[in-house]
Amino acid sequence: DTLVELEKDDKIVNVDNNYKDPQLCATFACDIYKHLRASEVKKRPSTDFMEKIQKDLKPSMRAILIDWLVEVAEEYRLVPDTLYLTVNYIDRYLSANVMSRQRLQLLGVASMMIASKYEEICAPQVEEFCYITDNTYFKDEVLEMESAVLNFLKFEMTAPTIKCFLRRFVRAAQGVTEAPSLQLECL
Amino acid sequence: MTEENADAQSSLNLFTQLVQCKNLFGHAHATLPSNRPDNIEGIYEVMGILGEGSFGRVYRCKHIRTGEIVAIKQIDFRYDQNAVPSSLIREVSLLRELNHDNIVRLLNVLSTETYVSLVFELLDQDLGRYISRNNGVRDPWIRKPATRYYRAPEILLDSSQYSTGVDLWSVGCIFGEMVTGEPIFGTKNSFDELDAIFSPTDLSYIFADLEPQGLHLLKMLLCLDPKRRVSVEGALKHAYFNDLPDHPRSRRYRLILLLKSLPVHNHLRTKGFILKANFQDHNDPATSSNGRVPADSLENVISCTPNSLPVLYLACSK
Repeated sequence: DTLVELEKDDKIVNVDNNYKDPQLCATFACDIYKHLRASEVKKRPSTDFMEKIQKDLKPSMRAILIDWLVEVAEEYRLVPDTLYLTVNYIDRYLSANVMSRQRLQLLGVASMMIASKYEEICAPQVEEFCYITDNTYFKDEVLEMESAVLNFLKFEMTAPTIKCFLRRFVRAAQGVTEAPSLQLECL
Repeated sequence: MTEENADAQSSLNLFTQLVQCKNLFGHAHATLPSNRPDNIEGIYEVMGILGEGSFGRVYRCKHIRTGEIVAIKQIDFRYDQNAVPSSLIREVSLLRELNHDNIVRLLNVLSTETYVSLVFELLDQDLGRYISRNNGVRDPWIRKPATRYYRAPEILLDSSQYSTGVDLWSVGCIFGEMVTGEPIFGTKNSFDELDAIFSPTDLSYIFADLEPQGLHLLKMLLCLDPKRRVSVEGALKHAYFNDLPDHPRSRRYRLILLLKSLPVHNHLRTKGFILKANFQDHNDPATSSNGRVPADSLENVISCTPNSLPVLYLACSK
């Protein structure tokens, strides 16, 4: 049957055989991903914070916030990693801190500001993050929230995201088919 | 084009950049606003200053309750428009990821609205002495990776495209230092540093003690053009490492350990990290008495440098 056929054709391709491009870190890519898998366990938000921790928030509000952050990331041309990190920080913070619906967007912009500082070459200014909330929050409030998030997360901002692993999976998948997929180019 | 011609050509370009960067040194630098505090957050008693830079200061401190001696790097961002600087977020996040005997441990982070205190384990009790003796290794060009003595010419010339080759240059400098016992490009500032690097010197004369194969490798490591500088893989395959003696304190053995440490190093550099080699073995009187590596040279030069970029310590002699 097809499954056996597939297995017969299955050849293991070494995706870490490009030693020419220093960006691919071929000699230690394996160690990096091993570390990321271990780190993932530690930097994972809880799955039930909406029911267990939050009183004022509903899952739909988080969805609206994240949809909005996607637009913000596009507006400021942030790299996708920044967006994924932002969501990670928001969820980890919400895993242990009760948040009111009025301040949820503040948490969103503060998290995005931290993620931008971590990931972007040129992070947007604080003022820009206030501006995109239609100046709902003052600069001081954004900075205060930034400090609160950093402290709560104990400055552990290096978090593996879906994006980190997807990049590698796509690379492995392409190693077999040899067909560059345009749909996945955006990663 | 012959190699000599290529060298001459690249030196000419480098010279143009050299003249441009000389102008950069004229700028005045902000002085630190505050005096030394008595304590930090009421948790640590401040015992002395280990170093300073434009980011703030590094203090030698004692934990008031436990008596533990630590080094606290205080980073002041009260004048920073965007509050917590990205370099700080990156430095602390990455230090938080690292847990290794050979890497200086970040014990705690004490954060307020205007400054952050990073509590590190203190590596050497004699740091203060070294700094006062050398009047500090102060550098006007603070936002440069790697301790100045070991900085590759492309970093000194402000290239935005430098890559893993800068580490091989540093290895070359440290290798030379292992032979002569003193920094081979040990100078007062970045401009003198460039001067020393570009002044025509005959390495075979300075390193007359060194075996011919070692000299050959050293020249490959100290190649001015980063593109033609030897790679880690290339260096490890060099004939100098044939019939490697298994004596762990031999020069060749240490050099190989240093080269092998580089992949970790390069991975970290992607976020602006620097690892530095530390050859010192404190429990071993033999190392300090043979004159090759002075008792407090390499490690201290490296660990006391108040560089705004994170410097990790890698003990190669373990």
